[in-house]
Amino acid sequence: MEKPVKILLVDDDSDYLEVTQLMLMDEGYDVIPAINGEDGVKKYKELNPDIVFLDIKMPGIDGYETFFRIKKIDDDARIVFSSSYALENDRYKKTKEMNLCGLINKPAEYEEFEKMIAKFAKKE
Amino acid sequence: MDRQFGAKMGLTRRSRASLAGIGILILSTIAVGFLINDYTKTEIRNSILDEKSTSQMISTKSLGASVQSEFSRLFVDMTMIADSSEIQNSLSDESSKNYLKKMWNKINTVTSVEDIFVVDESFTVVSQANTEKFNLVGFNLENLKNNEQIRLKPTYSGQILSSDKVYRVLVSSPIHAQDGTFLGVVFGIIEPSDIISKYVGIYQINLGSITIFDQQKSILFGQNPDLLGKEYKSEFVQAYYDNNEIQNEHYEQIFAGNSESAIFVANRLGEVISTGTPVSIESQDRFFFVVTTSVRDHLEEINENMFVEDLKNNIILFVITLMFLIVILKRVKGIENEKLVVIGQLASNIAHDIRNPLATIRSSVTRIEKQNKDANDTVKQETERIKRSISRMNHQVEDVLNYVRITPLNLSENSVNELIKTCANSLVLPQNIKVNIPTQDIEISCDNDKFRVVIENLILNAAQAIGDNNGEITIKTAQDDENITISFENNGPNIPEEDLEKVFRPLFTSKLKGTGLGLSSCMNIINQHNGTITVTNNPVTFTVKIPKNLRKE
Repeated sequence: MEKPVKILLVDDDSDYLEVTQLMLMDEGYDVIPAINGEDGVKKYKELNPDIVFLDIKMPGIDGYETFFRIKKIDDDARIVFSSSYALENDRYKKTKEMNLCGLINKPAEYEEFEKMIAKFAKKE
Repeated sequence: MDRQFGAKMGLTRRSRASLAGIGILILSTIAVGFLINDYTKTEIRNSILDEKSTSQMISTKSLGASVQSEFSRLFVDMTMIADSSEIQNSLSDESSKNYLKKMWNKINTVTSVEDIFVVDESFTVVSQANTEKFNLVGFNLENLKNNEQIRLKPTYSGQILSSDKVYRVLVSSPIHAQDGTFLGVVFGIIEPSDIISKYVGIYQINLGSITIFDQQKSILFGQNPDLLGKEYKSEFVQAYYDNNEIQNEHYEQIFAGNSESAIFVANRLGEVISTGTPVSIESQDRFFFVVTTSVRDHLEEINENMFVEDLKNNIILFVITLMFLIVILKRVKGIENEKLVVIGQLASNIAHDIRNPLATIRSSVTRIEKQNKDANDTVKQETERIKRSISRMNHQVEDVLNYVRITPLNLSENSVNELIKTCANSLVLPQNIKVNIPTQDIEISCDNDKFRVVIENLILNAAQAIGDNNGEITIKTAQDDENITISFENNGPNIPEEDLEKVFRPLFTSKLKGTGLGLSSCMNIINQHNGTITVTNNPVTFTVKIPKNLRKE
């Protein structure tokens, strides 16, 4: 059996974080939860996941800032925003220019996660 | 957030006060505008009348001067005839008669002379050149016989000669032989009105507005034949003029030899401009011209000027009002935008706060489903119901967000067919609905995300209208030099006529599950693209029209 895809899930909503982690783990993925942006950056550096699902609106450093910091660590980081609303702004545009993989609008069906993982997750 | 909201509200209150201020300013500007308009109108009226009166005085004086010079020349002509060798030779032989005829013709090319005739020393007419109207030859002018003046020097005498009541003037020159013997007199008969008519065209004076008085202030010529021959001071004439003191004073000035101009009310004619001038012949004031014109007659011209002035003032007022209105509208819009920005922020926050737990519920449902693949029907039924409810809540939040979100257009070139395909795919339409995509694809400059909201809404609405029946949604595109038109046609039931114009209004909905924001969001978005969206029945067709040359804001 091949090594499961390692997912970093960053969200400040602890219920969402937990249930989504469990949902993905049910499907056999390796999921690392992070409770905010700083935690996400730290865990990315430590654990080098294959794909990141990143919330945008978070206390402390928000999703965009987290995106830029992770990209600084790993230029090839695969990041998908997972947010309740996507506002077209300059920072969103900038992330798109920096190879943002995609956007999942909450609430999303499981299949959307699956599609993103299949398409963007790093393969060994 | 609360504090920020409060601050915005405070701003609105201040804005209301300033709006009231601007309103008062507009009203007072309009009031002042009307006062100025009134004042300028009176000013213009007065200055036009002054101008008229001055120009009429100049015309009258010129007319007088012209008539005067005609008479001077007539005297020269009369003297020339009297002193001519032909007349000196014989008063009535063939050659003198021919000469008289020749002179009559010559004078008539300049001045209209009725008759030229010659009397002998007994004042019997011996020769005549005329229009053949009256034959005077043989006629004895006894009444002039004893007039010493006529025997001595060139003379002027005015009188109404005949029964036709036309005032005529006699100019004469005595014929003296070389040794001083009195031989006779040469007379010319002139109708002053003939001379005047020659000039009325030049000075633009209506013949009917002229009254002529003689030295005795008797009326020689005028509109009313009843007044002819009557003295101005006579009771009859005074009664005719309503004993007008101002007019009397004005006429006295003219009779005293001044060229006068005056504006006064003559009851018979209303307000008049009256000008007069004396006419001297042989350095004596022989008669007086008075020109009377009705102010009413000038009113037309005044009105024309007034109209232009009115128009000018009204345009100025209109522009000022318009400018104020624009300022107000901008301000009001600004306030609305401020409000919308606050509401937008609130809505975004609420949307976020609702969607996060929805996402949690959604993930939970997925877990329940996956772990209970063999569960009983109730679980399956209820998880489906939860999923549908989540989706509904989500769409309602989406509708509100679309409505309140004002973000600048992010224009890009898009294929209409691609946009439609993406939307149709994301909507997951039921099997009974068929979407016909345009046969020919066109490029459109639009905000991709916003335009997708429009297309999704229109397709979704059509699908919901069709319901469970089999139906088709046909999308057609067309373009001309300026616009791109996209029409969404569906074979669902017609929209009730009375609702046709309401469908784009916010919060109008015929659906149980609708927010009433979908089509108004569409309209907002299309308007933001400087376009229009309209709806017609038979079949139900929503038509979006946006300009091609949309520039980035």
